[in-house]
Amino acid sequence: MSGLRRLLGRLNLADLPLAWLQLKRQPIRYLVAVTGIGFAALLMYMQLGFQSGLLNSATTFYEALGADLILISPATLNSGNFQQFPQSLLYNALGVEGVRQAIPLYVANVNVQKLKGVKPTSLRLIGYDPDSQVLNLPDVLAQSDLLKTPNYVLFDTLGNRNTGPIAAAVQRKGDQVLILSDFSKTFRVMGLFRLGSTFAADSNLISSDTTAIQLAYRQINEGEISMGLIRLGSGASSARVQRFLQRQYGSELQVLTKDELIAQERDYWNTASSFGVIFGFGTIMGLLVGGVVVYQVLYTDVSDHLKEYATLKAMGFADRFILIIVIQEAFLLGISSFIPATIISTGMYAFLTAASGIRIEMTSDKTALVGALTLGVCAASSAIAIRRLKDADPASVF
Amino acid sequence: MQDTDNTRTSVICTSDLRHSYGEGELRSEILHGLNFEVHAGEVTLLVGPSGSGKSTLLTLIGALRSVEEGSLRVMGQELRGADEASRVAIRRRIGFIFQSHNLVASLTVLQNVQLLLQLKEPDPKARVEKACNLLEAVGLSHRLHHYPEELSGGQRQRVAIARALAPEPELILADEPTASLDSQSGQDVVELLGDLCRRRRSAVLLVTHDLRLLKDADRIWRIEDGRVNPWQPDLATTSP
Repeated sequence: MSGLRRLLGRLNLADLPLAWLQLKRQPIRYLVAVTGIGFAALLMYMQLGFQSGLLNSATTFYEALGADLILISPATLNSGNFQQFPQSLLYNALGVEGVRQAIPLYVANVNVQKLKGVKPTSLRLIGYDPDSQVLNLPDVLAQSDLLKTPNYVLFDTLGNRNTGPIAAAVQRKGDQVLILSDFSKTFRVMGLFRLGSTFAADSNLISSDTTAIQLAYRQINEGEISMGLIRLGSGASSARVQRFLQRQYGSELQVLTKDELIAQERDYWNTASSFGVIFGFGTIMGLLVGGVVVYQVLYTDVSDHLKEYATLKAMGFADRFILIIVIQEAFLLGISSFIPATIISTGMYAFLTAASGIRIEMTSDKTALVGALTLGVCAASSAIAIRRLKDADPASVF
Repeated sequence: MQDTDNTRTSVICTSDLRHSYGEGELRSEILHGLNFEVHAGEVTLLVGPSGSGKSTLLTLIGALRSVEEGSLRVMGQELRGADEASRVAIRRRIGFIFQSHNLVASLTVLQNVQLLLQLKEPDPKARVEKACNLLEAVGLSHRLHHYPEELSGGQRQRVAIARALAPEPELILADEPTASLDSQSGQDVVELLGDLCRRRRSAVLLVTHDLRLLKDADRIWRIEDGRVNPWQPDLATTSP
């Protein structure tokens, strides 16, 4: 206890925390500074939120796949635009030792609307054999049998507002008839599930493979599929089968584990696409705004207190004592900005998730990153601002 | 160790003390070989016109500048050649009182006095108790939690005195402590300072233009054109 008191005493935090008392004495300036730095932290949170939302929306579908290995065309760059490949290639895998099941999967985007509706919505359609239970989603597994009826589909309730009252209508009436926006085909939503929309689609539909081929006839060529799912028998080595299949398919197909597929998707959005650059730039902008605000506040504060600091030096306080005051002020500003920014960002994430259907969550890694960046920029700004302290000449007090 | 003669302890002792500003052709000597002493338990006045070198001398005695030429012993410590750490250590043994008070605006009266006690007193409770006692001694026990801006000039100067006395300094350097005060407040401040210091056997070196203070001094030095001499003014007619 006495050790802690000694430590706090050394840091000027014991009974007379001068840094805090100085900030508190000028509440308007303190509030302005906290608002400025808090806004910068909010900006960083938003950029990181959008980035993680994009990545979540792109990979949630993959995470739900029940497969040991996944086949995709090398031309498929991301989950928003699948390049088809011959279904026969998938079935070649059945001849490989350890492969128990090979399941074709169809993924396409379709524009649909209500029968008398005028505003179409863009939906991602996922089609597969209902008996194969491809998606590990409780609502989907429970309603698989519904999909066996042609033109029956399940609708994702976590879509964005563009989907209109489809989910509400299904909940109220038990079903809802929709029509492709080219008026070529109708189909019936018979149940609901929860997955989450993407940047490319307002929501998701799940259907049988037969229904999917009929509804996405413009995108799915006969005999071609979007993805192939491989399930292995018990005791089979995933790595060995993957190596064997990859050797067999050569450059025709990519053979990936689920984790590799997710990593490839994240890597595309983070580096190959412009999204990662834009969000990264936004985060840096937030960092710079925060840095400029902290520096300006600290520089003005040090300038205003220069005479007092010179007096303290004259009376026998070491330079370190005054340096610690400035650094403490920077950290106090950082912490008192970061906390409200985190609370407000959590609320904004919830609002954006509800409005967009894209899952944006406040996670410990975001909190740690923004906290570290905020405090880091405060430390850097204080390091620059304390150069002003050299002007606090104790000889100038007389 | 302090310099002593038979009866008095010398707290400040200079010998051929010189100081200049600038270099080369621009070099200008401000203090020209000063020789004088200040003793414990005495109030010593240093008077002189503006530009005579008073402030430079105060900053040298206060260990706020390096001594360039000659000798300056403060509380037994030779300041010529002293490094920054030694000068900081000396400064902690000196009580400073400034013309414009120089109180920390964001601290209350009590906190201003407590602040300096951090350097000597490790126990926070003892710091508060001592600060309260000092403020009571200067008649400000009813203003403990006021901020400097809420006080009159005289009250601020009394806080500055309490602050200067807090670490029980052996030497007090006061620069025009009555300059911003009315006649009565100025008189009160000097009497208070003299009384407290005689009781504590501290030395007080007080720089002033204020003629009214001459009668309160035990010793007066006059500095003019960078030279200092003992002075015994005719109180009825003389001006510094």
